[in-house]
Amino acid sequence: MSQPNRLDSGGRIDRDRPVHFTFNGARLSGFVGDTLASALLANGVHMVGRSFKYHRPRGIVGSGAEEPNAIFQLDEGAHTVPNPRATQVELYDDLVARSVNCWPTLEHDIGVVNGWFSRLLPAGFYYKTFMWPRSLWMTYERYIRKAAGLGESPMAPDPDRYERRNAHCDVLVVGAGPAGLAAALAAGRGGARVILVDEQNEFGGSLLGSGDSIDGVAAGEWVGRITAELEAMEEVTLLPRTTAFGYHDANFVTLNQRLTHHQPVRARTGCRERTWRVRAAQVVLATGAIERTMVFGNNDRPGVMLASAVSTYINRYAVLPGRQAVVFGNNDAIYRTALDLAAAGADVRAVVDSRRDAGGQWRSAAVERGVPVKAGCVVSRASGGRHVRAAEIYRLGDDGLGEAEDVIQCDLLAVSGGFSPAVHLHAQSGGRPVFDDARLCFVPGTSVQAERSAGAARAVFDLAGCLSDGAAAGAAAAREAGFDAGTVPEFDTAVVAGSPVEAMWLVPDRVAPGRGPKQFVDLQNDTSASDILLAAREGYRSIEHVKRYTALGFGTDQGKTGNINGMAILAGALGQSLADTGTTTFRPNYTPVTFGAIAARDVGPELFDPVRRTAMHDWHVENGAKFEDVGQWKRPWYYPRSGESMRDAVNRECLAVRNRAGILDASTLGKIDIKGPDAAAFLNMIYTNAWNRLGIGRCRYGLMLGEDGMVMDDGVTTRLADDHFYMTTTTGGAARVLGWMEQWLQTEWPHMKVYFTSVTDHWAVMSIAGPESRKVVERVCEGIDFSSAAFPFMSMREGRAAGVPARVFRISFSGELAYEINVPANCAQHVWDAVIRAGSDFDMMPYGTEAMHVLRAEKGFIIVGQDTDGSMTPIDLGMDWIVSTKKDFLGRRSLSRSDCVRTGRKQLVGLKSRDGVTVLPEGAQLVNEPSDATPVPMVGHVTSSYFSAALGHPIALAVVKGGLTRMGGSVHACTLDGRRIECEITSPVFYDPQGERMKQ
Amino acid sequence: MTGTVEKRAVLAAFDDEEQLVDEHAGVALIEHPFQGYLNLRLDPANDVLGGAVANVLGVALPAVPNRTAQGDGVVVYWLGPDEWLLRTPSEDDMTVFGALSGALGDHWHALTDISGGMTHIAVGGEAAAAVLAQGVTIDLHPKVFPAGHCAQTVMARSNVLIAPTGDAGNAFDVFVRRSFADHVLTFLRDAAHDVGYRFSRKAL
Repeated sequence: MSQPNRLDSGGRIDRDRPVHFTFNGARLSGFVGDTLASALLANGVHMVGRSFKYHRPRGIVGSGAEEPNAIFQLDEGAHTVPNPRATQVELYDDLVARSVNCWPTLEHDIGVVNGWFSRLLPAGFYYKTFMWPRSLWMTYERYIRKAAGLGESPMAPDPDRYERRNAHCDVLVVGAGPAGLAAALAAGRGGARVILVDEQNEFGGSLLGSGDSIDGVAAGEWVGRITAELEAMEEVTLLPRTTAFGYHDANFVTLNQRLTHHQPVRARTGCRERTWRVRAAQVVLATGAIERTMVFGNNDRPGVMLASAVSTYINRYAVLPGRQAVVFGNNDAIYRTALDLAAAGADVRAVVDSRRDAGGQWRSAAVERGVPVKAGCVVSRASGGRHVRAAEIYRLGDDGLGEAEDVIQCDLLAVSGGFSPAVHLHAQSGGRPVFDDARLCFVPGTSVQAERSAGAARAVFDLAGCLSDGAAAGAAAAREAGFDAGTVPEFDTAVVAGSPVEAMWLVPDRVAPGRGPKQFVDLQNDTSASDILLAAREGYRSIEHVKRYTALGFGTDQGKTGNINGMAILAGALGQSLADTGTTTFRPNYTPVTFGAIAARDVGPELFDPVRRTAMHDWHVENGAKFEDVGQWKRPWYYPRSGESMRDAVNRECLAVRNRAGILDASTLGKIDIKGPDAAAFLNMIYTNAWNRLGIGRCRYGLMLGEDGMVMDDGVTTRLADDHFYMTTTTGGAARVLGWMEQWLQTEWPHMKVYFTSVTDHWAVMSIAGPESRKVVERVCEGIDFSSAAFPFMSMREGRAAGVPARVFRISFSGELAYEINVPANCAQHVWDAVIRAGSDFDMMPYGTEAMHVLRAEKGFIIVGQDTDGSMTPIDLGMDWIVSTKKDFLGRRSLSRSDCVRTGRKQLVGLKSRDGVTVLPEGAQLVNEPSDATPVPMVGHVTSSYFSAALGHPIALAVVKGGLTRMGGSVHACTLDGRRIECEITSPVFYDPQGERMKQ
Repeated sequence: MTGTVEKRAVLAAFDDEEQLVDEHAGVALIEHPFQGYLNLRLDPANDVLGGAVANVLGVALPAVPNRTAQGDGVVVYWLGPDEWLLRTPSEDDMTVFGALSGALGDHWHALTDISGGMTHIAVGGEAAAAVLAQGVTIDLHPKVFPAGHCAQTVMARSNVLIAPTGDAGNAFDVFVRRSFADHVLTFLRDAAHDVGYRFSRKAL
């Protein structure tokens, strides 16, 4: 057997299923059931990395989420994972891990010189040294990050699939240790919908690493029994490998479920991670507690481990991390671990208890076992380089250290500084943890949301207490969610009389902190006790400031093992209580969450945002259309024929409309059915012009203003009956306009009798434009007299198009004779095909949005959002003709604001480049005289610009200060490549200024 | 010139697609095309109107929010305090439209044919709720959302109307606007990645 630290029996590993992996290039093996950390320890690998700042050798400390040191770069290429905690990585075949933060190699690390000069690298060193001069920080930063950085993000696109799922439950139980299992069982038996989550691969929590028995069976067996009962409950969802990482408002908890992380990379299929968004009526937080380290000199040497982690490695993973052990701490956990070590065959050379007269059954059991106990003593320093070699033990004096007691050679130093309940989620829920002076830890405070903590999460540390506390919490939660929980389950387990923890936040040393070996508080950030004391000396008082000054509690572990010690050391330095010092803020996420899990399936062109298509979309595709995104819609942009450039195609489409006929899919326009006796009165308020006297079957163009008097939308509205109108809006503005109208109706004018119904999707619209358009539509439609006398410009007639009931509107956005056929969308392709056939005799062509833009620009028709930008009034657009002076409407009062009536506002004009050939870039800034002294005043910008095939020269629309009074004058358009193009200011109407063509 | 009118279903681009997992479709997606959809708005305080509508439909308009009612050849969905969706078997059959228009006469109301603007995707199968729950935040559990309920919500950034079609929690009707239907179906097919799906269209 090549795993020297593996025990022959016991543990929850499968010795029949070996697993091979690579660590820093070395091939090693473990078993199914191992974590990467337990497998490394089984192989005798203690030193796994270098520290962040001083590059000191570091080893595995913990066995769970708290691990500060054993963070690796996992796997390679697109599958690489930066910074997972080896203690939470389930071992799988061909796993490849390497240490981060050491260069060139773990054994020969160049940054170790930082350790030799550590006196010169106090807290705030980087700020003090590199932040001045500020301009050079960008230069320093690159090198500092390289030297101090953790893992590396993958550079390739993420090949994995991540999902999101919403869920609801009556009771969410976080944590499936003894308290969580009992809570879920109590709530589940009461019939509540329960979700039970645990971050580990199997339920049981601390029971997986303990030798306890419950209800007469070993703890592990009991876990299996309870899990099976829960599994059989229809309304219970069990989620192992799932971390509750955020607790938000309204009892909304986010979970990260890892589905394939434990499988060999090549064997992974399906979803890699799933983000659960749980809305729970009640939440039970059974998140357990995290053991604190002890703060003494060289407490970071590999081989110094948390006592509970040592017990877990022995009992759960059958790994004995050391043969000659010293156990040191301030609470009973040290005796449990000493017993576990002894039972596993280790030589427990001393249990060093800082308490002078701790009693209790745990100590008695250890003494009975023959373990030497040194009460009232501390390990003041550890020695050793890449591994702990000895513990220097002192007797505690009245004030600081007393006499030297012993120096004990050891290869394992298990420490326990007491336990901190994992109050993270409680704090995220809005609760404020309070300090418990008796149990020396922060415990959950008053619940702000519908949550309660149970078991070790509220400092109930004994097993019997956890079980009954969990059951009571589960039953209470179910009751409050409306279920009769019935009898609260009871469990039978031994009650052990212990001895209370005593404070030992900073172990005294022979010399002052900072003079002797480093006493680390936060291993991941290399924050030592002396750094915190320095911060206090330099005037820092708030724990939040000290955190940011010393980096205490930052990093991937967020200071899970060290924060409380650091706060206590600060409290001591400031002469105040821990309660007064308080904690830093517990923010999501509890442990790091991948970006993939947060983005889930909101990725890629199809899923990131809806893609809206018209009923004729497939025809456009088949006919070679290039598409343009307009809001969420895909609109045909132009239809290039083989060999045609975009300009060729657009010119051809424009000329088809001007000379013969063209057809445009206009289905994307917003359409709103407006009905009720107050419909006309409502339109009067929402549009600038008057609607009372519009005849039935007649159409009118309308402008809509915001309250600020600025143009927000436009469109043609048709009167279908006295009390019935049909409004069209811009493509992108449809939802906004409907919301705007509902807002005014519901909040300001609830007395108005009018209803709005969106019919955008019901009606498909095809616009047939050009001098031959009448002949085309006549061939397709029945029941409509298309003569100009019977069917004048700006009117609507109902009939049939290709057999389909249709509304035909004679309106024009191109300036040509034009008809818009509206039909129910399920029949749209049928009608479109018929129109295409009818148009073939006239060489009618489909045209896209680009030709439409050119055609309307030739006519000086604006596009809201292109020629306007939220700062344009109708007067600025030269459209005062549409603004009624006889009635009120939204935005009217703003039009008389001093700023709206001043001279020098930007006004819409046409521009022609004087050279007759240059198409101005849209967005180009306009200046009067480029040779003026800089900065040359900008007097406007180009809003639309095209080559007009019909006119044979470029045209542009622009806004120019005082432009309406400068007709015939010049401005210069400035291009990004430095050209200055002289332009003539003209009317924005370039084509058919009398508007005769559309009225033919 | 006019022959028969050839209709095109909203989701015609997705004819008979399937992607099975172990020869298994965890979810069946079935488009029911060409049904009639009428949007009805009227003043619920006007008992005359309510009575007239009940006469035509054979059932009263549901007054409780998010409830449906089954009438004579029409299903009614509550959309708002003064708004309902009426679903009829065929968009070409204007009987309900005509009868309602007649019954409501000159009273203020809005009865709007939106048949061309909607489609209906039935989502059924053991994984139906799990697939939908990837996109909607509402609680789909049959205890909370049984047959006879409906809800307007957002799925994959698209407005949808969802109604369970039984109390087993494994069958739902999803109604979606035409222009969002492609996207919603794309989303559903993607969400069924791990369970498999079969898409089909109900024959007329």
